[in-house]
Amino acid sequence: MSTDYGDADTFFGVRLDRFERLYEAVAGDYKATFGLVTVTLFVLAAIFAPELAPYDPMAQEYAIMQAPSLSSAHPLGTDSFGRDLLSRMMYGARVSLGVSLGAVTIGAVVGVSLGVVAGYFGGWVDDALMRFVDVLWAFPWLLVAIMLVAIFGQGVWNVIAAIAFAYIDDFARLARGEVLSIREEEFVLAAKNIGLGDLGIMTEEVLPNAVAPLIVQFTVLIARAILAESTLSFLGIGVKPTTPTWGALLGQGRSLIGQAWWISIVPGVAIVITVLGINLFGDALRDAFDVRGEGGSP
Amino acid sequence: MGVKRYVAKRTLQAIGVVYVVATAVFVAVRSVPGDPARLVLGGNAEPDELAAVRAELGLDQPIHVQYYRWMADLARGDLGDSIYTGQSVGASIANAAEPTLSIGLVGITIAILIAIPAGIVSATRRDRWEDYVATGVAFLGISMPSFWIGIVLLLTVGTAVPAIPSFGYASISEGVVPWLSHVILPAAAVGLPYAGIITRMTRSSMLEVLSEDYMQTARAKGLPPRLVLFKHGLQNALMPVVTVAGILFALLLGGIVAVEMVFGVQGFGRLLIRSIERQDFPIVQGSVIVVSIIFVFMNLFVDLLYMSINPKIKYGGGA
Amino acid sequence: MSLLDIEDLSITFPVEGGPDVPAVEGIDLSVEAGEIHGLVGESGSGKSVTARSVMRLLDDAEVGAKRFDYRGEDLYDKSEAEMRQVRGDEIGMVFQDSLSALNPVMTVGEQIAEVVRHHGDVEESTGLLSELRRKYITGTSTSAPSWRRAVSLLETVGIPDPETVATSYPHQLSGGQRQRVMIASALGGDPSLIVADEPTTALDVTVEAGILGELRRLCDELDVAILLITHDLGVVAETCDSVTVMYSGSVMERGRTDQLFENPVHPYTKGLLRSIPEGASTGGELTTIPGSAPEPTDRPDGCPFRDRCPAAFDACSEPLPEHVVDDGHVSHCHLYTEGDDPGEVTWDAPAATNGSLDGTTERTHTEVTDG
Repeated sequence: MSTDYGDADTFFGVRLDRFERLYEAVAGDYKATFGLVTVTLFVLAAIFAPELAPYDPMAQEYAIMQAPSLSSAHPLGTDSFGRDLLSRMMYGARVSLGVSLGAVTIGAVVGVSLGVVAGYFGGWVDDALMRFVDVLWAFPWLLVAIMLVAIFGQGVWNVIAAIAFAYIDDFARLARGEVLSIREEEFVLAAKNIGLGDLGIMTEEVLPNAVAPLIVQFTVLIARAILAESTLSFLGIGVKPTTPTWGALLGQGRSLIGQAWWISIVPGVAIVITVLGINLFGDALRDAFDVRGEGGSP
Repeated sequence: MGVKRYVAKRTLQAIGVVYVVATAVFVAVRSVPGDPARLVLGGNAEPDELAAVRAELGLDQPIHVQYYRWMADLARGDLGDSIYTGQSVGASIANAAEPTLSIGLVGITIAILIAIPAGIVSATRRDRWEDYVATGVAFLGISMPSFWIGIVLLLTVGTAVPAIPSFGYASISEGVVPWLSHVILPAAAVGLPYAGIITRMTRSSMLEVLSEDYMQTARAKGLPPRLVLFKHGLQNALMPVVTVAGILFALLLGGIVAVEMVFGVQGFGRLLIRSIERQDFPIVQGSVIVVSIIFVFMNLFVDLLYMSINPKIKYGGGA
Repeated sequence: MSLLDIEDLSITFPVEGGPDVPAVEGIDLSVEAGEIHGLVGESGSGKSVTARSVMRLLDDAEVGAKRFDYRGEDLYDKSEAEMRQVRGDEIGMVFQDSLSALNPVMTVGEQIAEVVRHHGDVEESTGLLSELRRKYITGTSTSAPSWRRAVSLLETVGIPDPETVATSYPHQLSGGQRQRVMIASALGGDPSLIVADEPTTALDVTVEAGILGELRRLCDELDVAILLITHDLGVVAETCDSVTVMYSGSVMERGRTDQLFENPVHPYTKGLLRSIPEGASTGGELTTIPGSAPEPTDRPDGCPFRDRCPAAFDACSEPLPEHVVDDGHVSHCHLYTEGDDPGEVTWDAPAATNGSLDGTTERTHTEVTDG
């Protein structure tokens, strides 16, 4: 006996009619459509940056080095090393989006595992794991990042680890809550009765039913991870300073704010549009899946 | 369970969490690839220098002795000394605290003053232009990094209004006006994303409350609409908002550190970033512990606050 | 003149992108001063919506009536400010689920006292700021006249130790106590009418009997009329002076309780009476009316009950007629328009006259809780 939804087909345990509702929610809502379209555009720009970028992001034009400017050749201007900002932004999108995706994915895998195990077994397992999660929560992500940089030096994986670290507790709490509410449902009891093992029940019965709120959480945290990554890069403790990321571009623009204001504005606009797009899409998801609530980590 | 016992229990739990955090920091430092002393001195230190630092940090002792000393020092409030300045870590952090706390507190105040009225208006005028404006601005707020809001404010307000200095910090001891004029822009930069989140939460919470039966009861009593809203609705709507306020301090901290850099404020954020540049490891680890303590006790405080405003919660009951 | 006199009331809920939902279609309802009038019907019959329309609390519905008179004045001609004087002052309301209908973060004493302050005979400030100060800063003074009145109202509705109960929060009280608190707060402005929407549905039988007894006593002693919404004819038999029977948005039959119980004429009323477990005249085993009520958007023409009625015939698709059985006893059934008594309606053979009454659909009887 599997998850009993009557006749409805399921996809990873989420009823397909939910996806139809999602489609309707997105197609019928210009905000959600805007979100999806902009995010898709940014993702495409990131993936095809080598093909699309008008210049090599590292190529310096000495002629305009001393006087960074906006021009038809460089619609978004150049930085203090005479490098094309548009090209750097496209490459920057790869890092910003990739790091966020990686961090949230890792946070989700670890957090959901902890939460599902805690919620499913309950008792001392639950107590122990959730106290552990409490401790994780007590580490401010920014300081974790700073500590990692202080110990290991700068690098992509430090940034990913620091941000992932911050989201473990969000996923763990959410997954645990979902599991607790699902655990006593009839189909889980039925699965137990027919002798399905704990692991089987968790992966085949419990987890799929918690998928919808987890997808929403994932989306929302991607948006926050982009903000976190940009903050770290801006502070100069993100990925290597030579790598163009949106935050790092902003950080470099700070010293030129008098002469070249656009360096401080344009990458920020990219961040805002991307995060806004993801948030709008996440909101549509939340409505479509009928998930409530808000809050969680920065 | 009585109030005192509940508070005592929660305080013990909080201390337990801090203890584990401190242990984790201890382990992290000692799991550094190579030599922690090298962290302190940098890559090309002489062997005798390394040995001296190891002795100073107690790294030549057996691990359990190191652990005992670490905890004993912590218990006495001794976080060690800055390698760079020689000042104690506690004093370094305390000296840098005022600007950071000022920005944070003014930021939260701005956020609350904007967000709660905006959330209430948004909910009560649902699907009208007021709602669209409030939710739209809130959405924008949560989608912008604080430091970038800071940059934008600097370029706009900072250049347009000469009375507002766009750089540095003035201590409150120099007077409230100079203090506030220095703090207002960074605080707004930190507060706006915070306001976005609280507006959205207040709105959804208030919408839920507006559909509650007791609101209909209050109307059926013939009470004026504003009394129904503020006497019967407000507390119920704000209780869930209070519960997440604690979590949001994490958001605030990340924002402040970056915003301090934008406005050239010599606060905690600047201290941290400089400590990394200078490889001043004691400051970094001390900061992790101090901030964790603040987090944990802030959360405890918020829990107790929630309990005190929610008559349904009897100490030790559900969340 | 009746205290409450409603004629041809229709209540429709507009639905965006769908057909409007006609909750109530052209009903008459009247309540005399000082009586308990039962409004009885199954879930979805429109009785609760009708109750709320009396308080003008239906914001998202279109309410239309030829007449909606309270003391001879049409409630729907009043301004919102005038209506606030009617609410609480003239008409009090008791809701079904007392746990959700009472504010969880206010003492029950204050929830009664605020009605006294706004509508009762006390001299206390009711301005927004003084009310908010009372709520968030000072609390209600236990020596204030409104609070003392609240305590005495709690005593009136039969609560022992009213001083202590007044300082309690709703979740600290039992369901029966909470419902008494609701009644006390409805009494706070000395109303002439109390609309009680299924006040005992959430309670168990012994507590229910206590509350109903209390309503009966209050009606007799305080001379307050009560419009009692219920799905339970047993409750009507025990408590009400007169009754209106609703089915799927329409009135089927109305009259004095004794008239209706001794001489029910409408097949639906007869069916309901057969399904009362005890207290009514039928005896024997509990039966139910086969089938279920139609959706409001999917009602047949004419009589909404005709698909379940064992006596349905061709004329039933015509608009409902009005047949005066006796003084004050009215039935809306086509069987009587010819002027002769059709005789006994045979509920024992429900499928006799209508193929759709096969009993295979969801079985509904009168004990269905209202949604």
